[in-house]
Amino acid sequence: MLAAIAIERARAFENESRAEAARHSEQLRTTVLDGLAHAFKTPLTAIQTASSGLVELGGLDQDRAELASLIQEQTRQLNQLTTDLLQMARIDAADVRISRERVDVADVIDEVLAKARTQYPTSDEHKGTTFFFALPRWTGGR
Amino acid sequence: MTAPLATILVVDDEAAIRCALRTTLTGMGFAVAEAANGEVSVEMARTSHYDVVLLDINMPGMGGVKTCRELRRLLPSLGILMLTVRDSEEDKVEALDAGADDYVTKPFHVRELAARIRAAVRRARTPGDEPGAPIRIGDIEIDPDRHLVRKAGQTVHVTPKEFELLHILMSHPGVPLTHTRLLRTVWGPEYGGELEYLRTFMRQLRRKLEEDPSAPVYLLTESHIGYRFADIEQ
Repeated sequence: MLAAIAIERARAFENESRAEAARHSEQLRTTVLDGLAHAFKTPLTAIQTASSGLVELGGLDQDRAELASLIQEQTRQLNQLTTDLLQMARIDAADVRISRERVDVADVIDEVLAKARTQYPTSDEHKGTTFFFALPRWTGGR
Repeated sequence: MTAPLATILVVDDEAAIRCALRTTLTGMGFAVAEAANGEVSVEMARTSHYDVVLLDINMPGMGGVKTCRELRRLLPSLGILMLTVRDSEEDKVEALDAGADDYVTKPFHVRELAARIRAAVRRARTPGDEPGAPIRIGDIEIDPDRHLVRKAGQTVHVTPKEFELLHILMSHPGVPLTHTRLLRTVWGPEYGGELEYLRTFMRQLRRKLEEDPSAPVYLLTESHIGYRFADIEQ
């Protein structure tokens, strides 16, 4: 009986250590991801500045202009991937802080719509939507 | 040889970014000088004239925010654009509260950056209006002396607080003003966290001044940061 309890405790201890080790390793992984994502932004900025500069300065023939645009487009995609990676790292590290404040739901909806218009300027999904401003106030986070 | 459009000081610890900016902006007609850190940039600004400083927020040593504060103290009319790598609202608010005119998030498109530079140059070169002078931007006009607001020539009735809020925003066209700055200027120094007030008053102003209040053209929201009155060239 005593031997069984000792074995169980040892197992529990081992499991706990494993969980702790797993947590540390997860933390390390997200820190590395976060650092990498930030480090990527510097060369991305130089590439984006140089390629969009080439286009803006003009004087490129059609082939060269096409290649410069290709670099720009791919840089934009790489930047988006890096941003997604950063956000995932933050979520994994549970580093998502909600700042609670009294909000007016209509304002939040307006803000979301304004962002959607910027991100999807050609989408028709938000058009023709009306919101009433007599909505109650809620405590929420963004 | 034509005169440069403006003189820009690029402050960034990354040589590749300085090089890309110098080459591109020079090609676009600006005169460009460089500094690899905040300390050097402050010394350069003391001895030479620059219209606008492009200042990286995240640098070793003095750092972008402290450099911005020092540059603003030395040269109140200098245009300061912060370059931020992190898409963090806290950084942007800190930079704006330290005296930056605007911020651009890296990586940026050169066309967008050049537009921001031109707007900053225009502001830096426009002598400050008399406090009571009327301001007209697009269809909207505000006359502080007569306490009047007009939209396309028609008088719009606004409350005193709406008037004050509109006045500070229109006095800084194109400049993002933080929630804290707006609250302290309009409501008083003991305010700062009452975002509800701002949202309510901005909503009222948009109803009165915008064609479509849910898609504002003049009174723009800077998410999590504050508000900006559109910089529309006359």
